[in-house]
Amino acid sequence: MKRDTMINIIAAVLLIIITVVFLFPIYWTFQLSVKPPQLCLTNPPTFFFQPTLDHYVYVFIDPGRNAMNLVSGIIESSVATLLAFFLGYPASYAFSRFNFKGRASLMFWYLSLLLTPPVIFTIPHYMLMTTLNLRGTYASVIILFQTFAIPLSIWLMKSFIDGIPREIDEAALLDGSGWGRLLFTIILPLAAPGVAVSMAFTFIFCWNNLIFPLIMTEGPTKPLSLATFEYFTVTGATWNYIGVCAFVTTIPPLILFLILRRYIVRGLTFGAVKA
Amino acid sequence: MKGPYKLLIFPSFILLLFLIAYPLAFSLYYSFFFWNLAVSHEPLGFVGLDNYVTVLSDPRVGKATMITLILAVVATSIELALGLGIAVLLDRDFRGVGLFRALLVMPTAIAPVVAGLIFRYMFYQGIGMGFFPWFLHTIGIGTPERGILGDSSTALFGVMLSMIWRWTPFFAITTLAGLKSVPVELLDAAKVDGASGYTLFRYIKLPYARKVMLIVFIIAFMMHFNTYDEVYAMTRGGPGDATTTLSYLLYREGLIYYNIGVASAMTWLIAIILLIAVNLYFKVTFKGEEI
Repeated sequence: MKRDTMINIIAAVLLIIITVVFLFPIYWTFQLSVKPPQLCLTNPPTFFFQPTLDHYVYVFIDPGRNAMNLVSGIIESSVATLLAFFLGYPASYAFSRFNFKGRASLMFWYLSLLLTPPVIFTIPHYMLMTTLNLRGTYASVIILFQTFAIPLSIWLMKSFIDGIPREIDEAALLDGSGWGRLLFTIILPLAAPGVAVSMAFTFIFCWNNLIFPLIMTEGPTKPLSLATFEYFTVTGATWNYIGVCAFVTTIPPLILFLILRRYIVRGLTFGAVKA
Repeated sequence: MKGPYKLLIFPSFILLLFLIAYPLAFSLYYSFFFWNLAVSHEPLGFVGLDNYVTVLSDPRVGKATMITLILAVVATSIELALGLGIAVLLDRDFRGVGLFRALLVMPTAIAPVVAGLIFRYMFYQGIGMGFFPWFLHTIGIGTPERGILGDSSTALFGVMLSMIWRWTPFFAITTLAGLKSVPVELLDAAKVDGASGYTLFRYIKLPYARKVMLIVFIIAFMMHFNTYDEVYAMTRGGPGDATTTLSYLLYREGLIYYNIGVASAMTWLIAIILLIAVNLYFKVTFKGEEI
């Protein structure tokens, strides 16, 4: 027992060090966002200083150059997530409940899209959206997000719907319920926690995506992460504003990760590993 | 059960089919044409397999493939090893270990492009100095004159470090889930038989975690193979071609140089490599399993 306590103490000390090392870059971004400009790149680094909110004011309020980018990012990721739900939920139900020819291959096809480098889709879509005059609109990004949002939400939602006993479906059908009613008023409430988790992960994947907004959005429709690059200019970088944008971009996924603790493994392995 | 599965799947399927098939068909078709948007709005002529020959004989493609593979193999291996080590620590049972599990996973939540920006700031060396060069100088290690990201011998290392930072916690928590998947009865039985901590780990827990680690390794390997965001944020493929991954090369060829024909051929070569890798993933993950 005593030896075990010793090992636990050593493990705890090591974990404290590791955690500090891994969280340091996040802290360093935060402190950059509240640091006086002249202290951004001092040698040695300045650890203690009087924090200021000026950079947040500049970026989001006065003149608020990037307030619209924050809103755009939220709109694009949220609407894409909702669309992926409406298209994906019926499919995930079908994959969970029905055994039909080609079911496994079709599911694999969906999954393979999650592992494909998105860059191979960009050039044709760039040209198509340009021809259709859709570049610079929310719609173009929201549609392109579906290449991964639909497969991701289908695989995650299916892994949760699998856990709902089939007897419920059978009983409802015997009672004369139609498929629409079964899916949306009987199964959906039961699957709601799992669906919420799936949607949260879909949102994070959209929010963290770079390449589709990069080729599709311009000016105010750029999400915040992409707009950050406007602060790199030929005369140098305005690191404080970059820090504000970078830190604010990380807040939504960080909060969702804290809430979703128990499901992170499942979410990030597309439902393949259930912790 | 029987039911209207076609109707339920059809809407998502048709949209995806369009989103995927259209680009692939477009790329296949125009990979046989000479088409540079900077020269003309229309393809200038059928060139047969010339674009493929160009791609395969272009030394930059070979170099980008090497860089991509080095990045994927080295970074993913380091992450796997570090992740296993951290998972072993997180697997211990003491008060407060849950807090470490919750905190350590944070870097995984961060957008790759933001991670790139953060590390670009930390690597900065020029007028003033970022955290890393200061730290290295302090412990007596010199950095290149143009900074770690500005020197072709160290830039890839810098990109890799930001990926290792973001992915190691992912390996740690997934491996932990694998270690925790051993049935309690099995652990108890082994303990009754007098198995020590190391034996438990080596002969019971690790074999249970192996499959999870393999799945996660392949997912991570492919994500590293697709590396684009960090490169865009940190180095734009430079200096020279030192950090140009295949994804970045394709992007540059198509959307900066507007070489649609060549980029289309490249798309198909990458798609074929990918097809092989994805099949491997399915074989490992779903071997003889109901999905």
